[in-house]
Amino acid sequence: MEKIRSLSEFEYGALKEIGNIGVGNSAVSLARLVNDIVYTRVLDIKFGLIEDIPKITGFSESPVLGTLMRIKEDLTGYILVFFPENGAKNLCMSLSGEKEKEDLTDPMNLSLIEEVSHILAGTYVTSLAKFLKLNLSISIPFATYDMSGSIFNSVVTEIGYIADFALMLDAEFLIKEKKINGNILTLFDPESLDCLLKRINSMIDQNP
Amino acid sequence: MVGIGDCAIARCPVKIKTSGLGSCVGVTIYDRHEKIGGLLHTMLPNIKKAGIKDNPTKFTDAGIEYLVAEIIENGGSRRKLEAKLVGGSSMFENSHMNIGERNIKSAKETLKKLGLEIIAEDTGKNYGRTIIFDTLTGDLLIKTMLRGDKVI
Repeated sequence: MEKIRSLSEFEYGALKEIGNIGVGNSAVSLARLVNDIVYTRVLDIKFGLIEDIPKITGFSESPVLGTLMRIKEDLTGYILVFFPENGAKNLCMSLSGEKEKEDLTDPMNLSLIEEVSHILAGTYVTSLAKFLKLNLSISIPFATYDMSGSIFNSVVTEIGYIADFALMLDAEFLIKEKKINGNILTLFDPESLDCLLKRINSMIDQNP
Repeated sequence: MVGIGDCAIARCPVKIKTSGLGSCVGVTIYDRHEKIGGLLHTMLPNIKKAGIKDNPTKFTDAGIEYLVAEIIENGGSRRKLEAKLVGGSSMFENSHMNIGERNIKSAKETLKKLGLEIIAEDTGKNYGRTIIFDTLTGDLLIKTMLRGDKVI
């Protein structure tokens, strides 16, 4: 049976920092891909009941392109990278070099975004693994284009099948010149959260 | 407006809405005679395996039982109740996530057990849905992003 817990100020800060390290590294990859400066920040960290998470994040019926990957090995959970409609179109345009407004239902574009998201999530997870000295890997990407609420809903449901609580890290990146913004959403199950916190605490003990 | 793992009951002429159904299932139960109905938005197929069971509306089986009991308590008559089923899609193709399917199966079994007839459904596939339930007519307006709107 899982214990209901709340995060201390310190744990919250440490998790936020970990999120920052991950998304910072992803930003470097993205910057190389689009050849432009990428701004990032961690928007939110929440630990709570699965069914409350959608209320917190305030997703809606607005269209997004979402790519889902599973986090495996020492920590388990899901990574969701998504780009709102316009950001995704601009990203396709900037990568393919075409001037026309891209059609996001086109399989070529879907797979392009899928690949970009996989690279972002890959660097994110690799940097977390390095920093925390854990083994982590991610599955192949699955992309879909739909209402943000529905995409998020199905991921939350999936984690709800194995856990009642989840830790959510929401990070944002922004490329001003090309008007691309997107989010990386990480959902860990509670066991992984415990593992994370233990790891953070042991690292602090080693470096007084 | 109904959130995830939540339900609402209303009388004519109120409309109830739930948005962004993915693998979750939306169930409406309606008494045409009394013009009273309820909308349920559940996440998981069954309550038996769950660790925390204090929210029945999070589970398809317990949620439907809860909603039917509430409607009867508020003046609906069990023999006249009709059900509609929406959602349960698998948003990410080939990703081996089949909770949607199991949600639909669980919903059908529960409704059968309670002796309720499913008069319409729009389930499965790979896209999200938003539904608006009209307690005046019992009609369900289903909105999707790429596939237009329809009424069941």
